[in-house]
Amino acid sequence: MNAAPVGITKGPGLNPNEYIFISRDSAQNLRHGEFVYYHVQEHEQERLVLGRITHRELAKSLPDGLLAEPSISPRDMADLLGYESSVFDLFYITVSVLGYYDPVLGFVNPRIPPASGGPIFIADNKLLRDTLCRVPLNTTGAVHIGSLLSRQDNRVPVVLDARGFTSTHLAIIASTGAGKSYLAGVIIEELMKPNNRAAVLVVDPHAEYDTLTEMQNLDVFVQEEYRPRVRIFRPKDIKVRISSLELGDLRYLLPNLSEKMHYALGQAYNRVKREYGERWTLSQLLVAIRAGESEHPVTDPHADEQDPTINALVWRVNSVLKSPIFDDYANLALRDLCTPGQCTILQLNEIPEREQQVIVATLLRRLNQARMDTVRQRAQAESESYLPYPVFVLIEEAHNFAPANAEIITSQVLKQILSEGRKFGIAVGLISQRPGKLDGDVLSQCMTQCIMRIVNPVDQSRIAESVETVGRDLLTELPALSKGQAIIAGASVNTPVLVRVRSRLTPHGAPDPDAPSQWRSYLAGAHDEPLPPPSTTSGAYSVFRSQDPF
Amino acid sequence: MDIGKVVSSDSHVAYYGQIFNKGETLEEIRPADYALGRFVGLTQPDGMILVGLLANTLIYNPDFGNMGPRLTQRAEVELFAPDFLAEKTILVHILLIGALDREGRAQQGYPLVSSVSDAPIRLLEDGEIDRFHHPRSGRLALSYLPLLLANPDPILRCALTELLSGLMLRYPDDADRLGLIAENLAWKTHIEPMA
Ligand SMILES: Nc1ncnc2c1ncn2[C@@H]1O[C@H](COP(=O)(O)OP(=O)(O)OP(=O)(O)O)[C@@H](O)[C@H]1O
Ligand SMILES: [Mg+2]
Repeated sequence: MNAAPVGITKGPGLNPNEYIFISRDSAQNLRHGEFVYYHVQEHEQERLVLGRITHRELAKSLPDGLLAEPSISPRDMADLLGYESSVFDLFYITVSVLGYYDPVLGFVNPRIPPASGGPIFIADNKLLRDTLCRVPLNTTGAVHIGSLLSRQDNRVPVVLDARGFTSTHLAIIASTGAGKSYLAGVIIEELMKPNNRAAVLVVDPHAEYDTLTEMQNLDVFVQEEYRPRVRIFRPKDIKVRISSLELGDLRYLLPNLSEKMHYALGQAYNRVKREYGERWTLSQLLVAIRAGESEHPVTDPHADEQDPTINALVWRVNSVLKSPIFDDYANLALRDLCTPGQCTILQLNEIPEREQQVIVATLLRRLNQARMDTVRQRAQAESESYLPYPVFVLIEEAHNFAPANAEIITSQVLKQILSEGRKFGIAVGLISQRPGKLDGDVLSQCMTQCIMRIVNPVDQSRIAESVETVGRDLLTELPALSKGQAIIAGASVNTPVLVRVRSRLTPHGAPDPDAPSQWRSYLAGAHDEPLPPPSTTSGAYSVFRSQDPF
Repeated sequence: MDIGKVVSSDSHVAYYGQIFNKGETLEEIRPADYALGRFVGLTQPDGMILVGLLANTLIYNPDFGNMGPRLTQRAEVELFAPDFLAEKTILVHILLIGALDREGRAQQGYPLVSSVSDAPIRLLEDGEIDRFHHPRSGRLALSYLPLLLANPDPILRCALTELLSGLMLRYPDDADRLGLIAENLAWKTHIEPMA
């Protein structure tokens, strides 16, 4: 490579893998996070040792006195004082060494620092294309999420390796409105393209992902006989078979039970399991609860004929499980939910939070069980829990399913999947706007991280604790990122990169709310109901009249 | 008008000039003529003028401290040995800041050649000051100034303050830039010593 050097090495930096070089940076492109390299000879081989700029500091610049008067150009001042050069600034630029790129090993640090006085070059687009990401565009496993932020748009595409995050999980973390759902949409699009044909399940508590159905109509997603399928399960389609609930789920759905109720529920639960195995119904459970009472002979002569605790428990179980999502027989079939080439969107809006959690917990448990059984060859092909392919589950508002400082039903199964999912081919992608409210263990087990703008210092420090792969220098960028810009780090890229997320191919389902224009258009008459006239009694009457069908 | 001559130096760019006494020149030299901050020229035999700045003055009196008995009265000496009187004189300290060559081209900064001794010292004329300050096609330049600003001598600072206010009057178009330098200098002289 015969590009002109951008600076000269001064010497080692504070840390052993850092060095400092001096540059005028007249092109103003040696930004924080930019990539530079030097040459070394290792074992008679010429290597390009890549590094990332982590710090820049003025080595020299115009004295403050010359900058004091805004109307006077410091350049003119310097000219007056006999300094005719147009170069004013000189920088110390600190670089953290990544190493040279080896296609098998990734970045290898040769531990040979640049020679003092030796030239430093800025990495060109081709070098970065070849080294930052390990999968070429449009090949199997390529998830093209955008391009390198420090370069012109699309010059250096950033391509995640789906093999990374579909085995060791993904986290998308950012403040609200930073573009998490947008990025998740981009990732899903990539997973559904013909080069990947993934089995994706999206847990969508705000119903923002239904626009992904557009994928079915766009040419980029079609190849020969392949065309992705997008299935949407609306709240009314979501069914949880009551017998797939565990005792813990029941208890979670029925908070604040008394000791006695707990006991009775446990007894009844065990009894239906004993009697009916895996399939039982609500009435069978209720019968078991009532039967439980008769097992204990009444000893107190003044006791009521029927124990009020049992009555209350029956009433509560009944009222909770009467919810339309619980059903005696129907369950979401796993192979309907997850199948390669299909993106399934589970819309959980309008469902109360505890029920959402139970839906997700039962589903994850069943998925995990099915994958375990299938991998261990314990499930027959026709069995309900036969799932002969890996699955990627994307969970929005993940802090609701694995909150910090609380162990809820979803936390356990999520933690199990996070630690064992790799063996069984279940990966999760967690999206959250409050890393501080997300369980730290859960976050730290997501080995690919997409971190976008975060301003809150508590959230920033949670990220710093849980995410080791992102250097502190990059984390300082977090509050300064704009919408649609992300730091990507971890198992799916060779080194952390700052990315400009690409545009969605399908429309984004959660556009920014615009209350003022809705107010205006309401008053402008763009609404179904007639405008209430100024408040007089007759006016109120006329409103009433106008809505009167007669 | 010549006001004196070079009598000594303490470096390549710092000279002592002796101000002409009464009798050595036709016109009487008044202290205002060798005030701090004025531009002077040291005329060299080849016609080149070394440009300097008046940066300090001293009274030179070989008799000072000589308390011994005198044989002659002062009034008699004046009559019989007028040159003896001349030994009591005013010295000026001149810092060279550039040169005007025979063609009148200006060079700012330390000149490469030194002055001959006894070179006549004169105040620069307005036209010369103007030419000296415009070494490059019409743009005002003060390249010599940073060489002097580095020197913390308060008397020199006073001379520079004077020089700058003179230039501001002379070049109203550049007064804002000169004013900014003057402001920095004033900070250094008036505020920084209190820190
Ligand atoms: N890469 C991008 N390019 C263009 N627009 C974007 C991009 N990323 C986000 N946006 C826009 O920013 C807005 C907010 O994005 P998004 O809905 O993804 O935010 P979010 O982080 O999911 O917020 P919330 O926490 O509220 O769910 C959307 O209107 C979207 O169109
Ligand atoms: Mg969102």
